[in-house]
Amino acid sequence: MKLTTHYYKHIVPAVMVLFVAVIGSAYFLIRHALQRELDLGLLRSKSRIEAYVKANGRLPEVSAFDDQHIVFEPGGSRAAADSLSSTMVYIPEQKKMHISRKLSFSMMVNGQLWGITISQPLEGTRHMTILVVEITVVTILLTLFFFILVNRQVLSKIWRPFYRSLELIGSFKVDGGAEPTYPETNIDEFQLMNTHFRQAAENASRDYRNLREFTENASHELQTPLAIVRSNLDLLAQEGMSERQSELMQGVYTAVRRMKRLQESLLLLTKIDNRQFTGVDDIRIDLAISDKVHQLQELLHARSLHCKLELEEASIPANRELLDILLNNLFSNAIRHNISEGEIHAQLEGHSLRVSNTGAAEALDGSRIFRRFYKKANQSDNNGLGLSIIKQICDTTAMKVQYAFAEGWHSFTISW
Amino acid sequence: MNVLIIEDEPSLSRNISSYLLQSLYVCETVATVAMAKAKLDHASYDCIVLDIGLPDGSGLELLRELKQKNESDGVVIISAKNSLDDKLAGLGLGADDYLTKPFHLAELSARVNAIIRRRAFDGRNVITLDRLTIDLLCKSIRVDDTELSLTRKEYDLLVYFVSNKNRVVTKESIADHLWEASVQMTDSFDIIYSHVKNLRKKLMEAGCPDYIKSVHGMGYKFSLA
Repeated sequence: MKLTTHYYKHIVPAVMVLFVAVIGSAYFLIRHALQRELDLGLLRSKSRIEAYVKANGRLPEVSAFDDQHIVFEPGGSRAAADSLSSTMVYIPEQKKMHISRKLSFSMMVNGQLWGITISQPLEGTRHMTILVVEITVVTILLTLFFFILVNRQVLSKIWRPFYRSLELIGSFKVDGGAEPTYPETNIDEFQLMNTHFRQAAENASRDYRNLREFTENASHELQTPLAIVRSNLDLLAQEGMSERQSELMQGVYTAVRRMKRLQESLLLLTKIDNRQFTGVDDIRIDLAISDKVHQLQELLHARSLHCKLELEEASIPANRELLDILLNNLFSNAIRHNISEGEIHAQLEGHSLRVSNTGAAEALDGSRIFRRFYKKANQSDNNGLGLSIIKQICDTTAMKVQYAFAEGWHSFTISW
Repeated sequence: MNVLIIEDEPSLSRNISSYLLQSLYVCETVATVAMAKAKLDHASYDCIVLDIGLPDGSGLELLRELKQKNESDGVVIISAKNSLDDKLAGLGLGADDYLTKPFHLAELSARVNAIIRRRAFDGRNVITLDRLTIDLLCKSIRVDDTELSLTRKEYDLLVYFVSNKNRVVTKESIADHLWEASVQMTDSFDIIYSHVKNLRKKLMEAGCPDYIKSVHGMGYKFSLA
C-alpha cells in the first residue's frame, strides 16, 4: 500500500468524525439560537398585550393571519408565573401536528384573571436548521474533495525526490562507474536519507574495491612463492631419484600446477571485474572459432573426439583477449567433459553461438554451474572457475550465456 | 657467457643461477635496483634476468635507463604480473622476452639461450650438437647432411630439449612450453608422450643415438652420452 493511501486511510475517518461532530454541534447551536429568538418574540408579544391592556382596559383582538396563536382563557384564581415550553400543537391549515414554543402567563384584565397562551410553531426554525445543516454538509464535502485533490498534487510533488532517490539507489551497482547524483531537496528527512544512501553506496563501493584489490594482490603475492617452489622442484628433479621419490615429486608438481591455474583464474576474474580488458575490435568470430578448434586439434585427437562446425560468417565487437579466453574455455570444457569418441558440435548463426557436446548422461545443475568453484565431486583437474569466467566475460560484454541439456547433449549458447 | 639476475627473492635467484650454471653461464645475482645499477655501470652482460617488483624501485624503470644508455644486453623480464599491458610495456621498453611467475627453470633457460644465441650469432643462428644441426632461423633440422622432417611440435620439443641439455625436463614444463595457457588437461601428458615417441623414432631412424631418455615418468632428459 502506498504511503498516501495509508495516510488517507487514517486521515479520512478522522476528518469524518470531526465533520459529524461539527454537523451535530451546528445543528444544536443553530436550533438553540433560533428557539431563543422565537422565545424572545413570544415575550415581545406578551409585552405588547400588556401594553394594549393597560391602554385600552381590554384584551386585544387576535389576528388570524398572525404566525402566533394567542389564546385567552378566563379563569384561574391566582396569577401564574411566565412559563416557556415546547408542545405539540395541531395546525389545522397543514393538518399536521407541529412542535411549537408556548408561552403561558396570566394577567388581570378589569379584575378578571385571564390565562394567556401564545404559541408559535417551530416549523420555520426547523427549515432553517435543515438548510444550515445542508450548507454544512456541502461545505464539508467540497472541503474534503479539495483537500484530497490538493493533497494528491502536493504529496506527489513532495515525494518526487524520494522516489527518484529510491530509483537511483535501486539501480546502483558496486562495480558500476559513477556515483548517482541524488535530486536536490529542501526536505530535511529526504536530505538525511540521501546522505545515508550516499554514505552506504560509498561504503559498499569502497569495500568492494578493497576486496577486489585484495583478491588481486593476494593472487599476485601467491606467484612468487609458487615460483620458488617450482624452481626448487626443477632443481630437485635434476638429482638422481628413486621411482618412489619421483612419484612424490610429481604429486607436488601437479599441486603447484593446480595452484597456478587457480591463481591465474582468480586474477583473470578480478581483471574482468575491474574491466581491465579495454579495446574492442570487430572480430570475425567464425574465424576465431576455427582457429581455436585448430589449436585444440591435438586434444580432440587424443580423445578421439569428432568436432563438427557449422559457422556462418559473423563479426562480434569484443576484446580480442577476452574472446579468446571465452572460446578457449567453451571448447576446452566441451573436450574435457566429453566421453571417449564423443562429439562436439558448434553452430554459429546470426547473433548466437551454440557449442554442444556429448557427455555425462545427466544434466548439470543449471542454477549453480556458473558459480565460482562449482564442480562435481572427483574432478581434481578442474578448479570450478572455467564457467564462471565464461559468465563473467559475457556479463561484462553484454552477452548472454545459457546452459541446456537434451538427450545426452550438453550445450552452452552464447548470444549477443 | 655471463648473466645478471636481478631478483629480490634470494632463493629464487639462487635457483635460477644454479640452473643456468649447468648451461655454463656465469651468473651474478643482485637484489635491488641500486645494486643492479652499480653492476651495470661496470660490466655488460649477455643476458639480464629482470624482476619488475624490486624493493627499491621498478624493474621497468631500470630497463628504461638501460635502454637509454643504449646497452645491447638482452633482457628477460620475470614478473608476478601477467597482464598483457605489463608485458607489452616491458617489450615496448626493449625487453626481449617476458615470463610470468611461476615459470619453469627449463623455460627460463630456453628463453635465455634463445636471446644469447640471437645476439651472439646475429644472422646465422645454428646449433650444432653431435650429429644434429639445428637452424633456428629456418626452423630446420639436419642429421649429418640429411634433412629431418619434423612436425612443428616435434621441432619445438627438440629445441626445448637441446636448450636444457643434460637436465631433466618435466612433463609440466613441456606442456606449458608447447601450449602455454590454452591446454589445462592431464590429457596433454599423453600427447607429449606421443610427440616424444615420434621424435625419438625419427631421430633414431635418421641414425642418431637415443638422445632422449625418459626419467621415471617425471619427464625427459636430453643428453649426448
